[in-house]
Amino acid sequence: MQPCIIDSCSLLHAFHVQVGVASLSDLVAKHFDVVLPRTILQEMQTVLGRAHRHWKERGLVVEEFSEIRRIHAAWTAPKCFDGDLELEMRSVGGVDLEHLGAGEVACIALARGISDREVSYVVFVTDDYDAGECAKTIFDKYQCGMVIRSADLITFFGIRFKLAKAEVHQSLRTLISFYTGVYESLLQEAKSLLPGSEASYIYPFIQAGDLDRAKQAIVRLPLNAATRTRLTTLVEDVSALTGDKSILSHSFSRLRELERLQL
Amino acid sequence: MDYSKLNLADNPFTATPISGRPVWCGMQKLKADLERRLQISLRTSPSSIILNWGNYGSGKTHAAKFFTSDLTLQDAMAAAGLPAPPLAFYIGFPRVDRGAAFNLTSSIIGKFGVADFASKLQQTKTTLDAVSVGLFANLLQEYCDDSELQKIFHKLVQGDPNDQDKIGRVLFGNSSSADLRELQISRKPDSVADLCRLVTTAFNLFTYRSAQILPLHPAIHLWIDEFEDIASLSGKEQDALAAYLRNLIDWCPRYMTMFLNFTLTPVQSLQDLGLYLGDAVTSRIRHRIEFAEPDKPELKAYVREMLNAPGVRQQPAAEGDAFAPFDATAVDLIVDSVSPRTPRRVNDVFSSYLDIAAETDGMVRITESIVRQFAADIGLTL
Repeated sequence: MQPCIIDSCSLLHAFHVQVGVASLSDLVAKHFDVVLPRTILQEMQTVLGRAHRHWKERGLVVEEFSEIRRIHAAWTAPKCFDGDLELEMRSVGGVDLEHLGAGEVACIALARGISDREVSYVVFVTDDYDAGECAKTIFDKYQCGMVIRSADLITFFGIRFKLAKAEVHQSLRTLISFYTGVYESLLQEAKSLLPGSEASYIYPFIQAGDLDRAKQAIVRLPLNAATRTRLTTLVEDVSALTGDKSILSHSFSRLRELERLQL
Repeated sequence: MDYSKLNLADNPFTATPISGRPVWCGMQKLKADLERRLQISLRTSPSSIILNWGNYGSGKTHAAKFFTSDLTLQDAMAAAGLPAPPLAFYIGFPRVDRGAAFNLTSSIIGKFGVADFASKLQQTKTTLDAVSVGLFANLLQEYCDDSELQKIFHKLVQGDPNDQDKIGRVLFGNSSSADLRELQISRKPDSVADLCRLVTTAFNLFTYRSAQILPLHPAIHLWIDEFEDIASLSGKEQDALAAYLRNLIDWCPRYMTMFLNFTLTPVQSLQDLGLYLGDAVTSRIRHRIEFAEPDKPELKAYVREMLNAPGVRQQPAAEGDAFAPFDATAVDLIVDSVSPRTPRRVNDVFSSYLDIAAETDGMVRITESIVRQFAADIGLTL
C-alpha cells in the first residue's frame, strides 16, 4: 500500500466526516499505509481540547471528549512513528520551513525519509496551504511524494466507490462546516478582544474580509501589547482561512465542480 | 447619558428604537421593494421564498423585526383592505442542539405559545364548523394524513386546560410515555416530516378561505435570520433542514412567504446557498432582494429621519437645521468618509459623536472640526 502521512487538523476532522457508510479516517486506513509522526498525535490532543466544545455546540460531533480520545488512541497507536527524524529534518534543508508548525515539518521530513527508505511515493494530506506549498517544493525537488487536501481525498473515495453525488456532496459540506466553525470561533474571539465588541468599527472590516484594513486599524487602537498581538494573529488566521487558496476556498471549488460534473 | 443639551431625549442611533416600535428611516427604495413583496403575498396565493441578502450590518435583521411588528402588520392589512393581519414570525437561525428542523418547529410553535396556538385552532374550528359541520375534521384529514398527529390537533381544539401542559410537551418534544398514554396518543411527532406536518397543517388551517369563510390570517410570513449559519451545520443537518424547508413549501403551497436573511461572508457567496439548499428549495426562490449600501443622498436622508423620528427630539428642530446637533457640513464629511456604508456602521459613527458631545462640557453642536478632531478614535478615514 502507498504510504500516507496526515497533518493533525486534517486527521482530526477525518474521524467525523462520513464518506458513504465509512468515516474518512477508516477509508484512509484501509487504502493507505498511514504513518504519523509523534508530534502530530500531540498536536491532535491539544487541538481537540480546544475544538471539542465548539463541535458539540454546533452538532458536528455527538461523542464525548473521552470517547473521541479513545478512538484516536486506538486508530493512531499502530501508525505512530517514534523514530528519530533528525536526519530527515536535515535532508529537507534549503527550503524555508520556519513559518510552519512542528507537526507539519515532521510530516514533510518523515515523507522524505519513508520515500528514501522504501523507494515509494508518499501521499501527504494537509489542509494548510503554506505546509502544502513547502511540501510540494520539497517533493518536486526530490520526487518523493504528492500533496493532497481532505476535499481531494473525499472526492477520490467518492469516485472510487461510485457513491451518489449527494453523498460526496454531503461529505464535502461536512468538511466545510468544521472549518466554518473554526472561522466563526476566530470571529468570536476577535469580537471579544475588540474594545466595544461587535460595535467596534474594526469588526465589520474583519466580517467583510477587509483584513488589511482591519490590521491597519488594530495598530491604531489603544490596546495592551498582548491583546494587539493576539488580535493581529487572529486576523491573519482569518485571512489564511478565507483566502483564495485556503481550505475553505478549495473545498468550495470542489463542491462547485461536483455540481457541474455528471458522475 | 444625558443628551438634553443636544435637544435629544436619547441617542437615536442605538440598537433599540426610543419609541419601542421599530422605525424605518431612509432607504425608501429598499422599503418599497420589501413592501411590494409583502403586498404581493397578500394578494396572490402561491407560497414562495424571498432571499434577502447583503453585507454584515446592511439592515436585514432590522427589516425582519420591522416587518414582523404588530403595527407594521396592521398597516399592511389596512393597505391591502384585509380583515385580519398576516401572521408573521421572526426566527433566528435554528441552532442544532436537538436538530435544526426540530428547533425551527419549536421556534415557530414557541412564538405562539401553546395556549395561543390552541386558541387560534379553536377559533378556526368554530369558524369552519359554523359554515359546514365537520369541515374542520375534513380539512384536518386533508392537510395531515397521520392519525396520531391529527389526535394532537383534536386535543388542542378540545381545549381541556388539564391537557395543555402535556400537549405542550408533545409539541416541544419533551413528552413522557405517561403524557402520551394520558393523551391517548400512540407516538411522539419526532421525524422531520412529522414536525413539518404539524406546522404546515396549522398554517393551512389558519389561512383556509372559501366564498363563505374568511381566513383567520390572510397570509403567513416566516422570516429566518442569519441563514448563512447553515454552513456551520454538519452535512446531514444541512440536508435535513433543506428537506424541511422544501416540505414546508410543498405542504403549505399557498399563502406562505418565507424570507431568508443571508449575510455575505468572505467564505460564502450568494451562489453557495444553492449548494446547501439544493435545487428543490432554490427553485422556489421567487425573488432576491439586495440590501445594498445606500448612496450618499439616501444616507443623509437616513440620518435626518433618524434624528427626527418620533420621540427623539425634546423640541422640534429649527427650520433648515434638520441634522441638529450636527452641522450639515459635518454630516457631509461623515457621509463622505464612512466605510463600509452600512446602516450599522453609520449608526456606530453618529452614535459615537453624539456620545462625545454629550459628555464634553459646553459642546452643543457637532461641527466639521469636531468630526475631524475625533475621526481617528472612531475609525473614520477622512
